Amino acid sequence: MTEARAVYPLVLFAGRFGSGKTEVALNYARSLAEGGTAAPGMARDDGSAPVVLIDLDIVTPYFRSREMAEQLAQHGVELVAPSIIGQHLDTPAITPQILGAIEREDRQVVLDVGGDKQGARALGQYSQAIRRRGYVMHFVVNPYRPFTSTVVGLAESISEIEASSRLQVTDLVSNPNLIGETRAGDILQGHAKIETYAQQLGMPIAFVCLERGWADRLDSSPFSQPTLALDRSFVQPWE
Amino acid sequence: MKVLMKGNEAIGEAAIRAGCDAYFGYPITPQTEVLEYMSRRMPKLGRAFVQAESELGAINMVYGAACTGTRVMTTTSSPGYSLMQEAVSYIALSFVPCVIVNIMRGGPGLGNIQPAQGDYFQMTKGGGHGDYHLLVLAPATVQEMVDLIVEAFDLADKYRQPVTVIADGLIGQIMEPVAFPELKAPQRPERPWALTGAKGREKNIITSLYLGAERLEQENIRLQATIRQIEENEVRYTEYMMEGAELVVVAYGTAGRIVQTAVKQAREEGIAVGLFRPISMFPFPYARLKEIASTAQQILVVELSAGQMIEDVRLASCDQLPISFFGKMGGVVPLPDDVLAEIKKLVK
Repeated sequence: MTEARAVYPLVLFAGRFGSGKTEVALNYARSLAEGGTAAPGMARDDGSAPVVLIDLDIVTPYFRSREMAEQLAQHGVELVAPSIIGQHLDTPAITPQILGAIEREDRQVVLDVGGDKQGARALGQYSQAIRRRGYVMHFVVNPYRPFTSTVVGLAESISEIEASSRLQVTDLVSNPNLIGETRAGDILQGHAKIETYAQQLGMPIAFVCLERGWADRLDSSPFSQPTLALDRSFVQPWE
Repeated sequence: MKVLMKGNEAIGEAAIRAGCDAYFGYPITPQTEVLEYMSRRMPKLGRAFVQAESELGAINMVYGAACTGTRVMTTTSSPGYSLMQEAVSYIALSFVPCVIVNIMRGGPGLGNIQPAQGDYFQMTKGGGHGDYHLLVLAPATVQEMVDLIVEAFDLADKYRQPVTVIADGLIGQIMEPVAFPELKAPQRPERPWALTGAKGREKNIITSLYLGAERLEQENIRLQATIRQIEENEVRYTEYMMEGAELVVVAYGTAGRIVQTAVKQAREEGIAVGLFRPISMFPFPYARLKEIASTAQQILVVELSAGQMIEDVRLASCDQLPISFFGKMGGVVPLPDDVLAEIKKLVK
């Protein structure tokens, strides 16, 4: 998978539209910055290097990492986004800073990839640099979303994104939820479904995501994988 | 079983479940996910999906397909809906059913891609040329969007008119858990007027061109009669905490949802306030609002615009009581706290 030995392999979060990639990437970057102990799936447990989050989502019009720049800065995460002006532009420009950030091997770099093969295409141009550095590409799955509710749909989605990004998916990240209407049963059944898929695809599950409320309440023993507690960044105006 | 859907994806799936047999559209943020969803799903079901060369192309394809009795839909966002107006006017006088969704964004002009409700006049007062009104339904949640899209197809068939569904970009983009009805096969109810090939019968002609004044007047009278029926039968609204409300807030769609949160907070603080949320924007719920105006002390209208629906609220209440307005423009979305502050200003 990784062709070169880097101090910190690049951590990529890919997946289908609405799988929760951005929320997972944001929370993952924050937990890395908070000392590294809370970030599961990392080979290295070292929170000393600065954390950078690259927002490479050029396809989603709303709810993008770059809207969280200020909040991330408070948590000690530096954000690199496609375009400085026009946070709400629907045709963002990819800036040279992104390649620069990918190549900074002394930093812990997390990359939030746009959804679907269209979103992953923006990644393709960096595939050489990414392979040179070494990387882990997590594929975020929510089995309650369309197109990844079956193993066939999931396999199709993974190969589309791999072809378009010219990188390989390393493992799955289990993110079973119905947002505000999630019940314990939904999490457990959804995760069980992902475990079955993972087995069929011969792919490991890196970690399980849980909203913080659930992470505190649920006994973590039902999962054989580590968990990442999520604090939702994108809250609707009426909530 | 519930699934987690983006508003725009839910529009697509709801149409499919309702038996939509053909979809024509053109990408424009913040509704493009409808096309993406339909492009994946429709061909797999053996139904038609076409990404047209423009909104003009899309709506004229809708017109053509509707003439053949096909269940058909298009979706767009504000500037795209403006482009469609000529054909929408043709479709109205041609008496053919279709469903049109407008996921509104900030305007006027190219504006931006943020949520807004600035197309109220265009949607409810005609939009294109000539004397017509379309049925306009406005959901406030993704589930309500699903339910109204399914209903819109039946209503379009019932009145042989385009039925429109409006929401702002926020409802198009948010993800919420939804339940869908069972999948219907493409619907082909008895449509003696449809262009299906005239073998063995008199030919049908569907047109909006009538060169004789008397004949065109007849068609107009028929259209007006249809609109009167829609006004009589299709008024929809919902009320929240209206029990003894001295201040009534009127808001629809996303604004309605924000107000609902503010009303709940205000009630907790002992303020006698309620929410009246129109769901059919045309026909506007004049009668019910008139009743409310006779008992309430004042009305506050909240919109993501400079104030458009407020004109219908004034008509309904016959200016019997003070009416205030709170709105945001250009894609700015107020928070429940902003609305709560307005409420407090008015009741003190």
